[in-house]
Amino acid sequence: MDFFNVKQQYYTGNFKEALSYLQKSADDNSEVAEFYKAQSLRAIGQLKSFKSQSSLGPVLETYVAGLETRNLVDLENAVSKHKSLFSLNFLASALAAQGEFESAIQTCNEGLTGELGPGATELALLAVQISVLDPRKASKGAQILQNYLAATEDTYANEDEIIINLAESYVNFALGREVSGSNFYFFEELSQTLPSWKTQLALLSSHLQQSNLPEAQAIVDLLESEFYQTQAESAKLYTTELIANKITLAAMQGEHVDELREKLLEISPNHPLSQDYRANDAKFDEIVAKYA
Amino acid sequence: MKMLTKFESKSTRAKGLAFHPSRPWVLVALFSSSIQLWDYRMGTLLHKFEDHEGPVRGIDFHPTQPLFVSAGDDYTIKVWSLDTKKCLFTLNGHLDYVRTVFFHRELPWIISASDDNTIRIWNWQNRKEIACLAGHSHFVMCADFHPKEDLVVSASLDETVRVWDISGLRKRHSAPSSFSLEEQMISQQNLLEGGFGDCVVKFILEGHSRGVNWASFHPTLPLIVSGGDDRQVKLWRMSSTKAWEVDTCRGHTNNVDSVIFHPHQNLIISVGEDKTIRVWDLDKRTPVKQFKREHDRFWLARAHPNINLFGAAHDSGIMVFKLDRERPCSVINQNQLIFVNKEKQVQTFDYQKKISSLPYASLKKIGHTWNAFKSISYSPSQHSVLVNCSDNQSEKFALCVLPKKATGAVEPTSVLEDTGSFPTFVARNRFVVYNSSSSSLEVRGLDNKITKTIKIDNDSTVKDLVYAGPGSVLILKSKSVVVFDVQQTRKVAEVTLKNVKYVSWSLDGQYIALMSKHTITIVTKNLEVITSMHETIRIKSAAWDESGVLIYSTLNHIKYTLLNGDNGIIKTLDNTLYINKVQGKLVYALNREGEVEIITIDPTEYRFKKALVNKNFPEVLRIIQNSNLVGQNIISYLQKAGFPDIALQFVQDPQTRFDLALESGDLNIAQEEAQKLNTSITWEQLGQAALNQGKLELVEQVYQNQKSFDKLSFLYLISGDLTKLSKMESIAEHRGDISSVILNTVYNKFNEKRGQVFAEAGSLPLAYAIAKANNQDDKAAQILETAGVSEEDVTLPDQFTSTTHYKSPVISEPIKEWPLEKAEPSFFEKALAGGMEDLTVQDEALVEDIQSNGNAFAAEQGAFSDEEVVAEDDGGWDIDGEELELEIEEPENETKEQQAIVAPSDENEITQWTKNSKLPYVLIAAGAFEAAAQALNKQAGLVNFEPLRPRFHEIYESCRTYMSATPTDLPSITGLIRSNSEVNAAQSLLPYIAGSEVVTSKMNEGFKLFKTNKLELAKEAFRDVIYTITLLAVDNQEDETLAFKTLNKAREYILGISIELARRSLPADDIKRNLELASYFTKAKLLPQHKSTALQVAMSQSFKHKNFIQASYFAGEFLNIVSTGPRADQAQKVKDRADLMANDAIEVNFDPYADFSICASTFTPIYKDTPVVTDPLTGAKYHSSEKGKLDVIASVSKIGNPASGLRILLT
Repeated sequence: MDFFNVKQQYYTGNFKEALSYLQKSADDNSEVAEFYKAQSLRAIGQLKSFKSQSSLGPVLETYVAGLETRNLVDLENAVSKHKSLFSLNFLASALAAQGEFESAIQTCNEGLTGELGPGATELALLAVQISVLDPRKASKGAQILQNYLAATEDTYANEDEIIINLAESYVNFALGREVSGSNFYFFEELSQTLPSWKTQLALLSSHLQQSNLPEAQAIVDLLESEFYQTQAESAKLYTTELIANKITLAAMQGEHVDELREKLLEISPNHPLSQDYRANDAKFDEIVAKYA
Repeated sequence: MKMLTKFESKSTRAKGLAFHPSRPWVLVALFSSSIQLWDYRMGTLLHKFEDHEGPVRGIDFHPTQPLFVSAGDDYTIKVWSLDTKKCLFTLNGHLDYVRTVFFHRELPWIISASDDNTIRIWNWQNRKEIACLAGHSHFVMCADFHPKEDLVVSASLDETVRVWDISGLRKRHSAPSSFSLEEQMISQQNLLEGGFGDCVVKFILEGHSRGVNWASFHPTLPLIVSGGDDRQVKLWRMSSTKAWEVDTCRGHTNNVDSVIFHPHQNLIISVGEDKTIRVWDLDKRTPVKQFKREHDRFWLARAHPNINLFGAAHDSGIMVFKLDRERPCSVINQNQLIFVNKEKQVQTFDYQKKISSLPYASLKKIGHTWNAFKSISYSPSQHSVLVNCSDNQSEKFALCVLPKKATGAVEPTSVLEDTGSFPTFVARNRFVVYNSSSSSLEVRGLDNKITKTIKIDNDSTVKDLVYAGPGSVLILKSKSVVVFDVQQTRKVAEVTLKNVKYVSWSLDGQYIALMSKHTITIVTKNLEVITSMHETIRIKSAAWDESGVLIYSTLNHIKYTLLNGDNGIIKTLDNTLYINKVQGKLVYALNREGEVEIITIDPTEYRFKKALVNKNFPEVLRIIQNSNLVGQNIISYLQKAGFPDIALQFVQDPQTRFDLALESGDLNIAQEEAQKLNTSITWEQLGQAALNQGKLELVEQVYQNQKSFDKLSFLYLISGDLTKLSKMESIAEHRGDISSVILNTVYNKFNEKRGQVFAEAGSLPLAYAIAKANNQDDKAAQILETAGVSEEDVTLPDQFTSTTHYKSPVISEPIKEWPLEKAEPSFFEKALAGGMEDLTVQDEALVEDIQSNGNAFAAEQGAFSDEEVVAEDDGGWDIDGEELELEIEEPENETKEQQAIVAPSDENEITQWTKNSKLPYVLIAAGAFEAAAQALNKQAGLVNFEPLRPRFHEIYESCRTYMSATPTDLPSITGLIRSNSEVNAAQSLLPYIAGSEVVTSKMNEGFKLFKTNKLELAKEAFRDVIYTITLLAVDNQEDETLAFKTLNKAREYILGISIELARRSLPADDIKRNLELASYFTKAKLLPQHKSTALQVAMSQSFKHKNFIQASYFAGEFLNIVSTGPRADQAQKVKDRADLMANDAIEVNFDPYADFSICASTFTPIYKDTPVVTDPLTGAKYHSSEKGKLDVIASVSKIGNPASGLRILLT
């Protein structure tokens, strides 16, 4: 089956559309199909309706359970029994979600140093994403991507193009490269061809990086318009990011952001902005005490 | 001897003249009844005094008071004021023509001589005649006081000269208070009787065979000189008991009308109707010199009381002249000046030791006794001087060998005298002289033998020769100057210049200043003209300083000129000086007494100008920092010289600043000042300038401000701002301005609307035409129907086509600004902007900092070395890896290949930020909060950080954006926001910086709240401004200056608001404090529109509580800001009423005219010269008792904390 459309929709945050493409070949029980189906359903909160037909099933189950319980022992066991690139992907994702970035990257490397097959590009993307989480270490993400592209000798499947592009844009984003160049065009094109919360937010970030404040404000307004607000599932997934970037936008304009930040701290205490805020605020307390 | 004419006036017959004792003025008494006052130095007629009827004969200035006296054929004596130029009073008494009048040199007396045979003495203070001296039996032609003794000399047509003793008169009048009443009565009696007895004839001098016209005392000796119609000048001597005739000078061929002694030399000067001025040797009674006019009889001669000048009145005016030159001749040899003093003795002056030597020799016997030498030339080889002792009659020179040592005025050991002009050494043992009869230069050896004769062009008269380097001379001709190589016998260069008299070579021999009477021309050594300038006052001398500036003297000034012709006055002189050398601040000059004077000058101005001309901006900056260079003069110079931007730094006045800003193209400052001035002309100028620079946003603001709607529409049209253009249409409609609506519809291509407007206005044909032209057939049909005509009734033009010339806009976004390349600020602008203010308020460390400009951090450390030292590396700033997590963890499995791929600059952008700048802003953005706090503490004395908490977070957050990962379970990916996304070079990486527009918008918010009287909120808004500026980063000095200015402005608003809030919270019965606080509120430096509110409050409170004087003051101040409208009317009423009452009911501690600031915490005045402490951040002033407390303006810094000054400029 050709997963071009599925991947296009999935990576641009249009999960329902991805599912509808998957529906066209409902009998495909390949790991690829199951991976995207499960992740799409999970994104829109309908994972319960999914029953795995492949050996990825136990991994998926333990993955979902592990995210909730924050205990990954079962998942690790399941993965050790079924070491596919997709199962490693689940494990690395779970590790990263718990903040165990080093282990997560190691897990990815494990997959990427072996024989590459379906799921390798996804794993590479994951590795890139994890490594650029800290902007201070973002160059590592660039290395991983370079290594992967060197390993595949740029012969990845056409349908994986979006994944590679996305990985590349994450690297650029984190490293501040091509801010007003290819990275911007990539996000702009995505947001036009496949408009969604995710692509709009990516474009928003790109504008912020370019200090295009009126354009950024226009996207905020757009996402707060009825059209996007009625997309309940996406709104639920991405509102955190919208608030975080609204904080950035307001701060860039010299405005006070206390209210917005309160909101973010409440709905997403683990967002990098929330985490930084708490750490900085503690530092500030010390300063106040020191000079008082 | 030479008679040098300095001034001549042309008029009708002049009978008398008088010199002002100190100013260059001469009064001329005219036969035509008027009196003229001339400035003989400038040659201008200053005033004409007309009050006499008939000829004026006698005239005299008072020696000290601004008065003069005149007398004439109307029998009157008039005393005039020089200040008001009016006749003060008239003394009547004489019964016939009054011939002469003179003031007494000490007593308030005037003496007059009259044809009524009497001499009268008057007291000009009580305006009474105090004596009448009768005795002469004919007209008294002249009478004057003795300069020191109680004597009077008079001359009469009765052929006698009489000397009168007036000591009795002095006794009677000098101390009247000592007299008893009885004596006073007697004195009155005496006066009435004519004062006989007080003045007695002492001597009657008989000898003239005709009437005597004049007699004068010698200034120091017991001598009298007289002249009469017998054409003789007689000299008389007197002792205490007798007087006798000494000798007679014969020569005049007609009546001698006036004769005087030379004030300093043994000479007699006489004038007569034979049209001559004659000079006689007093000792030998022989003629020395005579000067003849062709047609004018001379009537009077007079000497200047203080300087070497004479005046003579004649039939067609007067002449002011000098007898012989006063310029001591001199020549420089190495570090010595060789000069000839007044006694014709040769002396030297050592420039290093600054002392004059004893005379080496006396040259009195060389040349004519009464002739000064014209020039000297010196050769060190024999220690000899060449003296140019030519006079009108003969060309002579002398070569004198001087003694080796200066021992006194001895005769020179060897003197060679010969014929020839302008002797000048051209080598150690060779000199040239000019032989005018053969028009040739003769080269002679020290033995005076001619070794070479060079014929030179005889195109114009040779006036002088000047040394021009070894073997060369400058030949000064009447029409040109020639450099002549004597050795090679050839003309090297020539420049056409008339009457060059003096020459000064620059120290490096590259330039020559050629001076004529009124012109200085600077030429190169090859006589190429560099610059030429004209001086109204006569030029006297010049010398070059070490830096190539020409310092020259005129009659009364020392001035300078640069090579580009820029010149100015350095010093005003009391006496004329002849400059010979300039060394730094010292000018060496010879005075007319033949003594060397050393004058200290301030070279700042010309050094400043020179540095500017040479674009030596570090020097300019140094001078500005170290000197008091201010004043209109320097500003207008800077403006003219093309440095309006620098001039801006010196000016406070808004109008001048505005003009300068426009000239230098600085629209920001221009706008700032335009707001202060707020006149339509200013706005218009600003708009024009903004348009020229393509700053369309500013143009828009100006047009909006000026409500220039049509211009605004056109601006939107050309800039492609269609949205605003359509708004303009609505506005036009709203204003009911039909033509503007139509105009806008044309711009907008809103044809339908235009048609509608025409239709509504009844112009259906036009509406129809528009509809038709735009293919709106329905509309057209509708109009036809309304008009009640059918289509056939309408005749359209033959070539009627739809509009086609409208093009869609080619630009999507309106143009805001023409893309012009931004000019790089000059070194000076960079160094100066912002620096000027700091220089006065901040410590030396910062001054050094500005100078070194690169090592800002080091300077700060130096200044605080006794405190906790901030280490040079990041250590002191706590920017360590642990806190910031800046360390890079190298991937364990990294391969060499991978290393090659990754650009090292990408490794850690945040670390790079802090490497590139240590500004608190950048440190905060990088998360180094503690380092930032430490910096703020050092720079601005911050101790209470709590209010800054939001800003810290916001800065950190303003440079990070987040992107969700896939799947969303993963944490978001953080992207950094840079100050410039286009920049990738590591050394240029900086975090996003909210610009100064943020400050502006916050400030505007504060203004809005202030205006709407939400004072608490406004105070918070202004504090927010201060917090924002405290944590600001700007990339140019313009913004930095603006930010600091804004900080100060915000401080003033907070201070004003706090005072006003305190006033409002006062109990109602505390009227005194209420009035004080209302007054202090007006001291806050608010914008005029807001200050007017403060003034209004103070005015109404003062008026309400009957403090009328204060109310009037505030009303006046208010009216200075608001001059029209109901508020102004009210203020005017208050002022009028208050002025009527003119008293204050309550005494308050507020003196509007005193110099004081307000203590920001106690709200009480801090008068000048009382201890004051300043807050290091806000600059707020406090009483010294408040030191160490928290600043109440922003509540973050400690009052009086040592601080190096807030830094916000990215370097």
